Amino acid sequence: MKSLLKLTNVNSYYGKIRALNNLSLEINEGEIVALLGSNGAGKSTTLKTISGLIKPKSGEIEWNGRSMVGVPPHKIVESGIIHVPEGRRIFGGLTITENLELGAFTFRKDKKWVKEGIERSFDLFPRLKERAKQPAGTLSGGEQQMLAISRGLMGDPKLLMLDEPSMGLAPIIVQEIMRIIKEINKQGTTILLIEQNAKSALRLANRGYLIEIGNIIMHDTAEVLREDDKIIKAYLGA
Amino acid sequence: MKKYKKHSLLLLVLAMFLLPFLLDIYWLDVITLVLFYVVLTQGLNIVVGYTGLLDLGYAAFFAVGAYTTAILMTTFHWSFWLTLPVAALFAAIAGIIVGTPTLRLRSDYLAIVTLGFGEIVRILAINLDITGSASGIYGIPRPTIGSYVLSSQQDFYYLILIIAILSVLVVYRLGHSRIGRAWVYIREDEDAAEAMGINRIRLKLLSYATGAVIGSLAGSIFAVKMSAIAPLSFSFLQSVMILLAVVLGGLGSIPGVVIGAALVIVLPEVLRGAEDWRYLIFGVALVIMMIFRPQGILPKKYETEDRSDPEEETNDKNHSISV
Repeated sequence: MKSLLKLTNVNSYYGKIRALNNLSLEINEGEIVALLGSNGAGKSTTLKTISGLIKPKSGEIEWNGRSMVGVPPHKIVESGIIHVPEGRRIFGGLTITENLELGAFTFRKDKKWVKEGIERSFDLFPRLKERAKQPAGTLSGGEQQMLAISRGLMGDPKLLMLDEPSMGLAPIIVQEIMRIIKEINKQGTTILLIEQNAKSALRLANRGYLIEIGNIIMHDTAEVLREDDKIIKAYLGA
Repeated sequence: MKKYKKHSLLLLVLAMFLLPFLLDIYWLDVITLVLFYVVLTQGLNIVVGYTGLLDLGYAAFFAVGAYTTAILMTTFHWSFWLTLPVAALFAAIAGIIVGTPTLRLRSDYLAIVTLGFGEIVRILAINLDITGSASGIYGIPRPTIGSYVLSSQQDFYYLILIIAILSVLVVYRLGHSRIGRAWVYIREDEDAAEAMGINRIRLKLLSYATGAVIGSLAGSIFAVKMSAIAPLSFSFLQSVMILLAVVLGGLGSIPGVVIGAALVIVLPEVLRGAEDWRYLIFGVALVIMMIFRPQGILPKKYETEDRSDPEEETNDKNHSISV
């Protein structure tokens, strides 16, 4: 398996507070990797650091063998790392189609790609098609998450980073979202998944990392993590 | 419907061209001022309406245009038309100067910095020799086209009318371009826009610079129309009135902003009969307006988030339950 993204001893700060503490992790091509941990452990910070929204103070981020430290966020998006931020962050005042168009922003003048991408999103989530011209703010939580994922896919990611896609959704919708993440992965997109819902994340993922106070304290295949006492006690419930 | 709209727009433009034959000098002057405000509000609309950056010092760009043209024409004897690109360039630079330190600021902090910038420009104009200090610059020559000298009220009406139409067209086109969409994405959610590959810094600066260039055009024409300019014309109150017209008309909406510009100028004139009371009446009318229609007179259509129909809202609830 080819290594796609590699973080080595990354330190990120919010002002003076250290949020990532010598964090290292690696993602191989075609994998689904879950990043687990409690609130404030540094999961979202890890994603923000990878997508360039936060600049690490030290450490190395290698993407396809190329250093990504200090590369501005829009260049990182262009290189194929796409971040679907926590809380969906869709543009409530804009229509669903306009939201999708934004996802393809880096494709500049390639109108055909944009059109095909929108069609693909509607195939993946037929519910969005029915409401294409509606303001995205009128969608339900689950539909908004579907839109956020579709918007991410519009940028043709090699690595799709999903931050808590199940947050605040009904269990049946969580299942639906997880199924679609699997489907996206099957079509060739590598996925880095943050989840509080460790159970469904580990069912989906190939491997998992456990993060605590900005540091990776455990990593293994999903099967092993599912059986681990500490994980079961802390995240899966006894 | 669309065709109907196009026709009525053409009719409006035609009517605007015929207006000087119907109005007396006083009202023509009022309408000329409205057109200045149309240009200014279109420029500010890019910054405040499209990109969502509050700007309380917009009159500064109006001043940069006016002073650049005035100085080049009086001290250096340039032709008016040649001063336009230079004024635009200076305004763009000024826009980037005010834009750069404000890139990381939002809302109230941004308001303070832009307010300060507006004051800096005005105070510079009062204190520099080249800007004629407090008395300003006078004896600005009239612009010429071939051997024709633009001098009458009508001439300047037509000049600013053409610039107003152009600025409306440019702002409309920009709003529907890739750049315009990126501005709206930044306004709606800056972080999400950045995470989707939008170069936040470049686009914000472009917004400031474009707005500034449009404001400077109004300034350049203002200088030759008045033939004398003074710092008083570029006060904080001026910035507030321009912003007021934008907010009153409807942020981001081109027809709304045009109506806002007309109201801000015409209303105080209509109320002139009420003498000292007129600004009080004007002020009360504004407050009432903001209470009952905070989104402006003609808001931009897709900004439906805060005022979606009751029907849509119930739909939404049904979905979140069933989903």
